Amino acid sequence: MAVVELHHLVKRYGHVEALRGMDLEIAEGEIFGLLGPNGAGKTTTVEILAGLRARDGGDVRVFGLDPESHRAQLITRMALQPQHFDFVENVTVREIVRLFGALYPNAPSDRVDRVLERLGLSDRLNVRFQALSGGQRQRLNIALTLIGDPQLVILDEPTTGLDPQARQQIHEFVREIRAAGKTVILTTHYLEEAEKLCDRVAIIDHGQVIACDCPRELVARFGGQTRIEFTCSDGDLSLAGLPGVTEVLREGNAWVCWSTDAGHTLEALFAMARERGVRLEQVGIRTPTLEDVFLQLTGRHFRD
Amino acid sequence: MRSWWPLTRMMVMSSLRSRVSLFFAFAFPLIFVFAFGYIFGGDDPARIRFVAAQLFTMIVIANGLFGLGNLLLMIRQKGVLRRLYTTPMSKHAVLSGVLAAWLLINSLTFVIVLGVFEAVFHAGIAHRAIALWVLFLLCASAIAGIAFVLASIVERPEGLAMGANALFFPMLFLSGLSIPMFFMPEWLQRIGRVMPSYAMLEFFRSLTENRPLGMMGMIYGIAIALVGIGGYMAAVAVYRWDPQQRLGKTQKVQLVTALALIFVIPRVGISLGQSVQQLRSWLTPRYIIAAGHVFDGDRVLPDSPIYIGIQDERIVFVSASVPDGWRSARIRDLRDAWVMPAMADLHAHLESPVIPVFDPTFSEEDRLRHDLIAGYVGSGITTVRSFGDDFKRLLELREIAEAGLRPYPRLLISGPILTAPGGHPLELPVFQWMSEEFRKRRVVEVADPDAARTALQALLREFRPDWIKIVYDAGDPTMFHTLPRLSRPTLQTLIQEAHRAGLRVAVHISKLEELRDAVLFGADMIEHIPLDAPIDDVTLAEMQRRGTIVCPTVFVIEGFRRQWGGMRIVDDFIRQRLLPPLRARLDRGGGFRRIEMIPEQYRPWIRDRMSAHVEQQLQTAYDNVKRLVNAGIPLVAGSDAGNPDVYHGPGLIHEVEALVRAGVTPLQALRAATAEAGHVVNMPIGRVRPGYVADLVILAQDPTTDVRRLRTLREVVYRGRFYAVEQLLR
Ligand SMILES: Nc1ncnc2c1ncn2[C@@H]1O[C@H](COP(=O)(O)OP(=O)(O)OP(=O)(O)O)[C@@H](O)[C@H]1O
Ligand SMILES: [Mg+2]
Repeated sequence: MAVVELHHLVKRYGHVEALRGMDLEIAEGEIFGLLGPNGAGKTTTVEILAGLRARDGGDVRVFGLDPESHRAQLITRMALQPQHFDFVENVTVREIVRLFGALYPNAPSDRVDRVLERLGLSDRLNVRFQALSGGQRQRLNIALTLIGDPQLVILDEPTTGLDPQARQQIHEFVREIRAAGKTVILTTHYLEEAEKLCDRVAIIDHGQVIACDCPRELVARFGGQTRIEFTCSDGDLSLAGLPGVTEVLREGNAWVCWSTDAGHTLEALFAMARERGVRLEQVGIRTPTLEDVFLQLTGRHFRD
Repeated sequence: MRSWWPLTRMMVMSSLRSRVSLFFAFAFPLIFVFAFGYIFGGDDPARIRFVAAQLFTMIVIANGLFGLGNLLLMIRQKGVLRRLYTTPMSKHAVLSGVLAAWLLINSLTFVIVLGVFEAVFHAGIAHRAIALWVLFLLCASAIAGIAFVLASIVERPEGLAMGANALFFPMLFLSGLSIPMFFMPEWLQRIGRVMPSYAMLEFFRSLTENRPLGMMGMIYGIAIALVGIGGYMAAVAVYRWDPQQRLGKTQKVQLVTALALIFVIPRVGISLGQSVQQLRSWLTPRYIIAAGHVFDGDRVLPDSPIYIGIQDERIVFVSASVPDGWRSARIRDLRDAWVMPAMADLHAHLESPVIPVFDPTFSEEDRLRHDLIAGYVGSGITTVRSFGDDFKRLLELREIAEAGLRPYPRLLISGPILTAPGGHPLELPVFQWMSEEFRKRRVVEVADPDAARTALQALLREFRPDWIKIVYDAGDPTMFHTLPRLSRPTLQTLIQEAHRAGLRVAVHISKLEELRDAVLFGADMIEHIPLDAPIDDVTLAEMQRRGTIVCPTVFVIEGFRRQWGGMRIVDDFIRQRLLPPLRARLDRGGGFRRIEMIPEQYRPWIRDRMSAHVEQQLQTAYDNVKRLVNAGIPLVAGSDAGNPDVYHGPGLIHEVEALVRAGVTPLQALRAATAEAGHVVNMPIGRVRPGYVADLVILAQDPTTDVRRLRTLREVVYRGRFYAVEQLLR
C-alpha cells in the first residue's frame, strides 16, 4: 500500500519554480531516499508532505489524505525532522524533550528514554540548548521527531554535520524503525548513504524526479560499466576478446579495461593469467555508483 | 493541560534564566516604582495609593506590549512555532501556554511591586492583594491579546517596537496614566476613555483607594475581559507559525472584526449595564412603604401611617390603607419616619472651582462621586439643573445615570451661558486659567441681535438643551464694579428666538432694572433677585400675569457677607459629604475667603465698608423674597453651588434654610425645593402622588416645622431604589 503519493506536484516561490511536476509513490515499510544536489527541491517536497508548505499544483496524499486539509488527522501519524533547527535559549534538553513527550500521550512510556539513549543524548539532559554542539543539536532534532513513535518518519538531511560514528548510529536506528514496520523518508546528498541505507531512491534535479528505483537497479541501469585495472610486469595479455569487455587501454605495464559484465570478465581474466603464467598485481575494481548514475542522467557531476 | 503546561514551564524557566528578561520583568518596573514613589508619593500614603494605581496599569501594559510581544515574535523567528506546528499541539495550546507563562511571570512582578509599595512606601493596600492580583492578571491577559495580534502582524523586532510604542504612548498620555485627563480638551478625553487603559486605571484606582466597585467596576471588568477575548480571537485568527507565511483574506477579515470588537466595547459595556438594570427591575417589581408621616410636596397628609405603593420606579398609590391587589407586596416599615419628595437644585454649576480641579489626586470618578453621588443624592437631591457646564460631558453622565449604572442625579442641561462680550461670568479667575476651548464650551459671547440669532442656531445644531441661560447683569456700579451687559434688543432677540425654538429661558439678573427688562421680554425664569431696590407692585403684577418664576438663590447672596466677614460654614453635614483630602484641606483652613486676599492692615476698613454694603444688599434681597411670596409668585430653590462655601448638595439645604431666614414659611421653602421645582421643569417629580417618579427622602424628624431637620436624612429612594445614606457617602 502506498503511504505517500505525489502526483505532478508543483511549487513556485515567486519566479522560482522549485518543483515542476513531481511524481512519487512511497510504499509502507520502506526506507525511501530523496537524493539531489542543493536546491533540487528536497526540503520543499518533504515540507509539503508534512503540511508545512502549501503547494501550487498537483495532488498529494499521505495515508490517503491531503496534508493541507487533513493536517489534524495526519499530525499524530507522521513527524518531520526539519533541516534547520533552532530553539528557545536557556532551556535544558530535558525540558525540551519533556515538552515534546507531553504532546504524544499515546507513545510507549519508555519511548523518550530509548530515543535519547539511541541518539547518545542521555548524558546531555541538563545542558542548555545554546550549549549543545552542532552535532548534538542535530541529534536532538532527530530525537524530537522520533519521540511520538510515528508511522511515517520524515528526516530532512538527518546526518549532515554528524561524525561517522553518529551517522552509523542513525543508520542503525533508521533500519530498526523500518523493522518495526514504519515508513521512513529521508533526504540526503550523501550518495553512499542513499545506496547503503535506502530501499528505494528518487534522484531529484531541478524539481523533478529523474530516476526512481532501488539503488542497485539504478546502478545497473544507468551506472554504466565496471572499470578493472591492474599491472602485470611479465608476459602479454589479450583482453579484447574476453566476455563483456568493451574497451582496453594499456600504458606500459598498466592496464585498464571496461566491462559490462564484471563477473565473467574477471573469471576469464584470471583464467588467462594462470594459463599464461602472468602475475597480476595491484588489481582494482571500481563498480559504478549513484554518482555515475547522476552523471549519466544529467551529464553533470553531482557536486559541481 | 498536558500539552500547554510543559510549554508554560519551559517559557517561565527560559525567562527566569535570562538576564535580559529578568531586567525587563522585574528591575525595570521597580525603577519606575521607586522613582514615582519618591518623586510623587513622598510620605503621603494617599498619594502613594494614587501613584500605585497608575504604576500597576503602566507596568502591566508596558510589560505586555513589549515583553510578551517580543517573546512571541522571538519564538516564531526561531522556528519554534513552526516546529510545534508539525506536532499535535494546537495553536490554542501554544497561545495559552505562552499566556500562562506570561501570567506566572507577571504574578512575580506583581508580588515584588506590591511588596515594595508596602514595605518601602507603606501604601496600605496589602489587604486587597488578592483582588489587585486578580485584576493585574486580568489586565495582563487583555494586553496579551493585543500583544499576540501585534506580534503576529509584524515581521521583525523593529516592527514590533514601532507597533508597541504606537499603542503604548497614546494610552500613557491620553487615558490618565500620566497626565490627568481633565487637563485635556474634551475630544481628547473622549478618545482616552475609550482606551482599555482607562478602564484598567479606574479599576485599579477603585482598589488602591478602597472604593466600592459597584456597577461601574463590573462594567470596567467586563470591558477589560472583552478586550482580552477580542484580542485573543484576533490572535487566533492571525496566528502565524511560519515567519514566511502571509495573512490570508479570511484572516484579515477576522482580524478587522476582532479589532472592531475591541473598540466598541465601552458602548457594549453600557448596554450590558442597562440590561442588568432592566433585569433587576423585573426581579423586584413592586413594594410598599409604610410611612409614619408624609409631606407630599405641597402639604402634610393627615393620616398615619400612610402606604405608598411603588412599582417600576413610579408611585402607584398613596393612601391610608393597602389596596386589594397589593396585599402580597413587600412592605418597608418606616412608621417611625417622615417621608417627603426628594428635592431639586435648579441652579448649579457642576464643574465647580470649589473642587480643586488642579489637584491630580482627584480622578474624574472621585470628583463625580463627590459632587453628584455623595453631595447631591446623599443630601436627598435627585434632580439638578446645571448652568454653563460642558454639555457634552453632562450628556454622557446623563446616559450613565439613565442606564442606572451610577446613582447620579437626574440632570437638566442648559448648555453654555449666553452673555455680553466680556460679561459675567468671564471676569472669574477660572476663565483666565483655563484654555480658550474650555471657555467656549461654557460661555458664548453675544454682541448684538444678529449674533444672538447665529449663536442660538449654532447651539441648537450641536444639541437641544433643556433650558437656555442668559446673563443680563451690569455688575455692581455702586461699588465701581461694572461689567458689560447685553443690550436690550439683544436680550429681547435671544428670548424671542429661544421661545420660537420651543426652549425655555432663565435670565440671570442682579438689579431691579434688569428684572423688569427680563420680565418684559418674556423670561420664563429669573435667576437671583434684585439687590439694589425693592420690586415695585407694577413689576410684581406683570410677573403674576405672565407666570414668571423666580429662583432667588438667597444663600449665595448671604455668602457675600461670609466672604467679607471671614466667617466659615463648614459643618458636619457638609464634611461627611466631602472627599477626605478635601475635608482635611478645609479643616486646615484652606479655601476661598475674599477678605484674606486683602493686605492685613486694610482689612478692618474694607470689612466695615463692604459689610455695610453687603448687609444692605442682603436686607433688600430678603425683602424682595417676601414681596414675591406675598404676591403669589412661585419660588424655586437653587443653590448656585460651585460658588465659594456653596457645596454640591448641602448647598440646597442651606438655600432652603436661607429662604426661611428671608421670611418664607418652612412649608413654602420645602415646596420651592420639591413640588414647585417639579412643576417648573415640567416633570413628574417633587410630589408624593400616584404617577410621580418614586424619588423620596426618608427623614428621622419632621422637616415641616424646622427645615434644618432635612439633615436628619436616613435613606434616599431614587427611581424606586433604596439607598442608605452611608452607602451614598462611601
Ligand atoms: N522560502 C523560499 N522562498 C523562496 N525560494 C525558496 C524557498 N525555499 C526554497 N526556495 C528555492 O526553491 C528551490 C528548492 O529549495 P529546497 O530548499 O527545496 O532545496 P533542497 O533540495 O532542500 O536543497 P538543500 O540541499 O540545499 O537543502 C531552491 O532554488 C530554493 O532557492
Ligand atoms: Mg533542503
